Amino acid sequence: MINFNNVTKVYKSGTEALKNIDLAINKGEFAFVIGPSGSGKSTMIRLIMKEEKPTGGELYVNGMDTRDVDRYEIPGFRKKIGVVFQDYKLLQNKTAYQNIAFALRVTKTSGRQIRKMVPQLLSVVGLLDKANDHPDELSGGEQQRVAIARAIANNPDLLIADEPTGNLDPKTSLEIMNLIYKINQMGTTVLVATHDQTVVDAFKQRVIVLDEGRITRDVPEGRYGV
Amino acid sequence: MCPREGTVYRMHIFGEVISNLNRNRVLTLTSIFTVFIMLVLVGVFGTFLLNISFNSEYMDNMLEIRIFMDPEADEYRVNKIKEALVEDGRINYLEFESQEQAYEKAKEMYDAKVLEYLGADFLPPSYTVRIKDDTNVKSFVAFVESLSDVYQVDFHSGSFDFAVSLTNWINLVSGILAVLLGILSLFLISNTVRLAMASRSEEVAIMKFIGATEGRIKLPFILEGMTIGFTGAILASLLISYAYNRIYEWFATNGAEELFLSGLNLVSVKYTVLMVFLVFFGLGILLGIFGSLLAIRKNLRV
Repeated sequence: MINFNNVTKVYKSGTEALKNIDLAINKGEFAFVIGPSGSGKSTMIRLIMKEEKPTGGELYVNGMDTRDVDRYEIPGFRKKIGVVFQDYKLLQNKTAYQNIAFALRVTKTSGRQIRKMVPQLLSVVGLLDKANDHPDELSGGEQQRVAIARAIANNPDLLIADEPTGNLDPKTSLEIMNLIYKINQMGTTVLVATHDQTVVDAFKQRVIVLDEGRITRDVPEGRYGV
Repeated sequence: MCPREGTVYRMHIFGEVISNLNRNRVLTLTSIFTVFIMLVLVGVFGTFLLNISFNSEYMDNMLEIRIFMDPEADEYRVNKIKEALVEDGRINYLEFESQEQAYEKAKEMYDAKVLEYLGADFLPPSYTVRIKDDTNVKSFVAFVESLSDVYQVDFHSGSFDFAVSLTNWINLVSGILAVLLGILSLFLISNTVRLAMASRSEEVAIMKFIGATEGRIKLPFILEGMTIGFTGAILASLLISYAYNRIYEWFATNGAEELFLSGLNLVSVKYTVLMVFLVFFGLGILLGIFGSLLAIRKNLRV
């Protein structure tokens, strides 16, 4: 699903964010990427999303060499990747329903399909009764659920979560991670970048540790600490 | 996507455009106003110039040159001048007025008794000629004056030069003003769209990572610019059409006689309104699109 072959990323400022990364994440896999701030987690996600280009090496996502993805092909490429952020990135002037519908509408899903899919997605994340609530009427956990529903709306092959529990209390964090895990169990490859030791330790999945742009540890069924 | 759903999709985009323009109301109105002012200016000068060109026949008459010949010149010498003029090739119209014809005309205008005393012999025979469009009047007049037996050459140089230079000045001044206002409109539209983008940067970011196409992200912004240009065009078209209609009516009731006598006519209201709408809508929409594209090019990296 994701293949980093000797990938390096050096920003224009000279910061070497990733150094000779070799990494393979298989289809259907669940992996945590952990590491301190500035270790390269966000850069890794940006490269996968093709927001940035690798300075060196090859990066394959969904079987495609990201170098071969032309500008006009980026939307189609990104449609197959769902993303969840720490700050949810919901549109404040839209309800939970409209936020999810928006994602479908901008990717040209028909109105009929949208009316059918959005309640299903809200039901998957357990928020059917909050469909008409705006983000400011929802708790942090509920907002993240809406964001997850939006991320999986286009049925992506890969779900990337960037610090999905960063703003949540431990109990809600585990609920959110359970939801993400459930999505993984339905066949979606999941990559979670996190600082949250509790969730990493609770799920006992593959753990990839980044430090100063290098992979220092990559263990299946790992824990946060050594 | 079935046609009905396509319509719903488009309606949604238009709803988005209107609500976004409403969000930056002051700047939106300023941009519409600038487009409006620019188009009104183009309209005022444009309709004026349209009327001038419509009356170009009248202007052409100003190019009529009258060549008076020596009253002593006999038929042979008079014909010699005609031959020289025709041979020169710069004229496209020639009419001869004999001493007798001139006398008859003069009788209508002046005191018949005095003329009777003077007789027809003192009046010079003349040729009225019109020169071809691309002919230089002054060089032609110089040529005619050099012919023997030519006594005097008359042409409406003053009024013609004035009309030509007035038209040129109006063209130049209105052109410069329109271009300046056009640039200002472009800048304001671009600024309005840029602000719209800034206020929706999060939405744009979300659209990007969701996988919205570049066109889908840009379309509402382009439509916003177009809406500004279009609204300015509607307002300006209505004002100019209304004003022209009033002017036309005024001339029809108060100034018809004067206009008729002077040989000038106004372009019909129907034709003017059609031209104004077509040109304004084209200009307004183009300005809107270019203003938006300017903002997009500078501020939106998809």
